[in-house]
Amino acid sequence: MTFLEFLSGVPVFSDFTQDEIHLLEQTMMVKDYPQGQVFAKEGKTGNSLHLVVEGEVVITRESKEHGIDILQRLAPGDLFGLVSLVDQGPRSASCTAATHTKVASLPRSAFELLYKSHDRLGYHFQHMIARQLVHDSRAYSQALKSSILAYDRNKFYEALQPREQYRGTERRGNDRRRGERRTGYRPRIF
Amino acid sequence: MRILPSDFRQKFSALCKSDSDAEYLLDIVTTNVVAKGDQLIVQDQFNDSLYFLWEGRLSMFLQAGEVRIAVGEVVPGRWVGELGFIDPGPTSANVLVEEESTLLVISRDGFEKLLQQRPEILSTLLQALSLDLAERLRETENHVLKRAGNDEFSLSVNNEQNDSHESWFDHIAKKLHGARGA
Repeated sequence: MTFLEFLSGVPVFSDFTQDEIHLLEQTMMVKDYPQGQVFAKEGKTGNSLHLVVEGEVVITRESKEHGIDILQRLAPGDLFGLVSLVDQGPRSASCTAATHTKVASLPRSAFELLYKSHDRLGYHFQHMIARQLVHDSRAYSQALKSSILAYDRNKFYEALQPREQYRGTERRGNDRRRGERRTGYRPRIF
Repeated sequence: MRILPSDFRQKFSALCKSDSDAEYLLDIVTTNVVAKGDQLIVQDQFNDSLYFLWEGRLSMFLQAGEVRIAVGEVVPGRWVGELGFIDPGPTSANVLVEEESTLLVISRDGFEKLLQQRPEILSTLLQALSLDLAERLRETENHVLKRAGNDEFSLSVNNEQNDSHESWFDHIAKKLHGARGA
């Protein structure tokens, strides 16, 4: 499968036209990374928006008690590094390849060009970014409501786990063509 | 009630770049005056409109069963309903009217009109709303992450210090909903 075909099946780009997907494909840099590759270090400012193409990326944070905590596992189709690019603040956590991975990256300069442009692609990009942030906010909100009653922190974290996971671009491609969205949502911690 | 574009721009400086942008926005909003005690937004109900608070005061709270968590107040110059405006769907919190308030509302039709006629104003709006959401998410995540793997929480449970326990949820609710000016 080509990267273009992969991008066409990623739900977050479902509003993009084929021409826009094609432009994105030309702008993003796809690279293979070995297990253990650190994409972003906690506390550092992010320089790229990343998309997992193959393999798994884990979001981790250092903990005095346990060394390294794995907070989230990202699968193909998941974006990471978004909040840091939008608010230009430091990363909340580190992002590391848990397996051999293929990751597509959009450098900050290209991100800002798209994010600030006023053409149709720019609008689709800005709306995609805003929707991602809304989805993350809703996921946290839902986790909060489902755990408040029991005052159970574990329920909060359990509620953040995805109800449906990405299993292949073929299904994702169908989702897009049918204009459907994932019902489950994987909140990301950036 | 006539609102001058320059006054609108001053109050919502992050949301529009020029008086002419403000003038256009003022043309597409509807003005709603709501009475003290009214419930403007009901949690979990569908919403697709953005509400700018021009005058008055609102408060937000979360409800889960019988548990109610106040997440703060909304003051003039702020807004509510942004999640549904960006992506129509269920609201995340209740919004009550604490004092008679004047709201400027952009409906879904207004969103479409902006997209068709003045996409650059919609871009500015989306970027400002995204920045606000990103900052709130960052604050929420920092709080969630701070307690990940931290024994402080389990100690408070073991010792039945529920005040500490409750504050963990309260803090997340407040960070997430980003009530400003509370």
